[in-house]
Amino acid sequence: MSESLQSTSHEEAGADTDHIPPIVQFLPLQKALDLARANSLWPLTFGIACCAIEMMAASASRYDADRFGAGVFRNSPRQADLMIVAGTVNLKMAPIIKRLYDQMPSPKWVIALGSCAICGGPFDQDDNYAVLQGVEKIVPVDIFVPGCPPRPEALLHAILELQERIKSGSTNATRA
Amino acid sequence: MPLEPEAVEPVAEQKAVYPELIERLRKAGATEVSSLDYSKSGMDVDAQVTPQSLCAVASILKHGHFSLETLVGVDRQPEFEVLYLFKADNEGPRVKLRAKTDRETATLPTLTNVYGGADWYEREVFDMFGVNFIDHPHLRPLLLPHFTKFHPLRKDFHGAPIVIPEDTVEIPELDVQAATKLGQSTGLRSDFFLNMGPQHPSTHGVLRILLHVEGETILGGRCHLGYSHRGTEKLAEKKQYVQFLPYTDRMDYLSPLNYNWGFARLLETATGIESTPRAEVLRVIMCELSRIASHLVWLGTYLLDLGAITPFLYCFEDRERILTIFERATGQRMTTSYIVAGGVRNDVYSTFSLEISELMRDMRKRLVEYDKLVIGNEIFLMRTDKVGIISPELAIEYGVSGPCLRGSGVDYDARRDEPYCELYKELEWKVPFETGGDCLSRSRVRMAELEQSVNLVEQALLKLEDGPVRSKVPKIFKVPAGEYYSVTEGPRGIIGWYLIADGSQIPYRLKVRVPSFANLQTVEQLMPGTRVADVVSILGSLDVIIPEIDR
Ligand code: SF4
Repeated sequence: MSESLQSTSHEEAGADTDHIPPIVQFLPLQKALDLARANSLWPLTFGIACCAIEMMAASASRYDADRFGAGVFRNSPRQADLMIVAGTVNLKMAPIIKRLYDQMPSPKWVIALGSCAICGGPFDQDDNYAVLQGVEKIVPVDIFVPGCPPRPEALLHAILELQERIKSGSTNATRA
Repeated sequence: MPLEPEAVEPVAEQKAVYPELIERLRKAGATEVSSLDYSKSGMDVDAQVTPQSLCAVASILKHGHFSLETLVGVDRQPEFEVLYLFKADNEGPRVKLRAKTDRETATLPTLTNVYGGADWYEREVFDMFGVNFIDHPHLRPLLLPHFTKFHPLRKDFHGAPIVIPEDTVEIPELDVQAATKLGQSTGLRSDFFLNMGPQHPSTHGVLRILLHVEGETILGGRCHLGYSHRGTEKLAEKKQYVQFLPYTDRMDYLSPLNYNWGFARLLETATGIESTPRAEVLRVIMCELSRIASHLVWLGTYLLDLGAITPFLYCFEDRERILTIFERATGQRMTTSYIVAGGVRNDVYSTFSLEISELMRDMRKRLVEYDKLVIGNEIFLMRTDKVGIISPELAIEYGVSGPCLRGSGVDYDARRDEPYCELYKELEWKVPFETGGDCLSRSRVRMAELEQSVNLVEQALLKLEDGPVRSKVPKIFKVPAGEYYSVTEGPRGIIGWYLIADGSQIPYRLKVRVPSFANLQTVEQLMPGTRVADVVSILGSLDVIIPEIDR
């Protein structure tokens, strides 16, 4: 069984832990599926703070994320396979993000956009009582995009990078 | 360190500026009423009230058509003090009421019977300081999660992360009482509740509204805030004044420059530092550009909510052009930190004026297009005309400001009515206002403001003369002890900064009065009786920014 097809379990990150890899594997079919998935990422419309505006800019006219097949923002987590966490995650929001992630069908990927989503950003200082120190504490993250806020190009780069990883089968996503 | 409450010395010799008002406040039970110097403290009248006389004094102000601007909680150590800031229409004074309560009992009477708009403010103070407001109809945490057990803005709280209980599911708190009351008058009854948000495309961020509906008709609704609360005000008490500047960008990220200006003005009021003429012109140009960019985002996303996708693409292209200018001038597209005490951070680049005048020329053409495309559109008219009417009385009672206030026929704009920048007086422009009070009026006001901002930028460019862009500012920035308030007009309304300084490099208490907070509060009043789809229309027309509300 090829290593790349094994699901990477993320116990500490809270992903499905009881997941069992399929017994029969179809390698060429899997590859074709990966290719298709990589080129039609459907992100969840989900902005929390400042970084969300740059996410909108990335999908609007000048930067046009549609060129890479990642411009179909879905409003329901059940139709999305990419979660872009754009903004400061606080402790009131954290359980909701976890739930949204759980509602997304597998395989699914997460991009942490901006320093807030990575580590709490400018707000994780002086024992801040409200802010979560990075979204990785609640959902498994594939790509981190630094910046405060990152430029739209940075998000596009992240999407391209994610596509490469999906194609080579080396992401955190659980396969079902 | 305990701080003396009377840090601002009342100006003793100066004649009372508003003798009649002061006399009436005294009669209603206010003690220690004095007039303050507006240019130094940003307030005109200061009055101490007892818990018993609070409502009586506030009623006097209510009759004088004062609007409640904000509540500021302060931990004076040992006792708590709550400051009520009021503003009269156009030329009138700003009044500050101070009510004290000791640490053990920590109770004050509620003001919600007099000013409906006190509702959320009191809940915020309850959250942050644990002050109980007796007879408040709905005293629950507003910004913090319901499982927190501490009051972060108390001085003896030194920060501990909230521990999320294992089984946290936010329990929907149903406002059955209010809804059933309304249901009785309409003859409708229902036990169906609809949850909207916090992940919802039309709430523009993470706002949650719990709707009580019968079919498509809304019987009542409650907003839940705090999903983007970041503890900025507590952070401010640990940061030096200069270090806090970047946080001002991140409150309202659609108009960071306007927030920068408000904060810079606060520090200038407090320290007496003056900015240079070139810097003033640059401030006006940058802030008006920022207003245009912000209104463009509003236009694009509002129409997206109402089902039109094309305008969004146009608006964002125009906005990108403005952001390119911001980036070249300040180094950042959004989080600019450009306007600082004493001027602006650095001078602009050589083709600055040229690029902007070119952009403004194109902008004018675009505005005509937008007007035709949008405001005349039949579907747009159907979704907005006579929907979500804010009456002038409601607007004043709730402290609504900005285009929402002007859409309700109240002609107030801080740029014109507060003397914070001489340049606005010299330039030729007018404050647009409409009388309908509905979503359409608010939209029209914003469209007209876009045009006025283009006017302002074009005229200001002609006034740009060579000179220094920043006056001398001491390396170690200290603010003399006292209380200061500054008001500027942002794209969404009045941005107020209230500072209590103790003479050090760090604020003792910094409170920001954000426009969206008051504007959003009206939504609970507007919803009953409308349809579910109207909520989207109303929310969009208020143009709220959630991280600004939650701070
Ligand atoms: S990383 Fe910076 S820009 Fe992004 S949400 Fe956090 S504070 Fe805002």
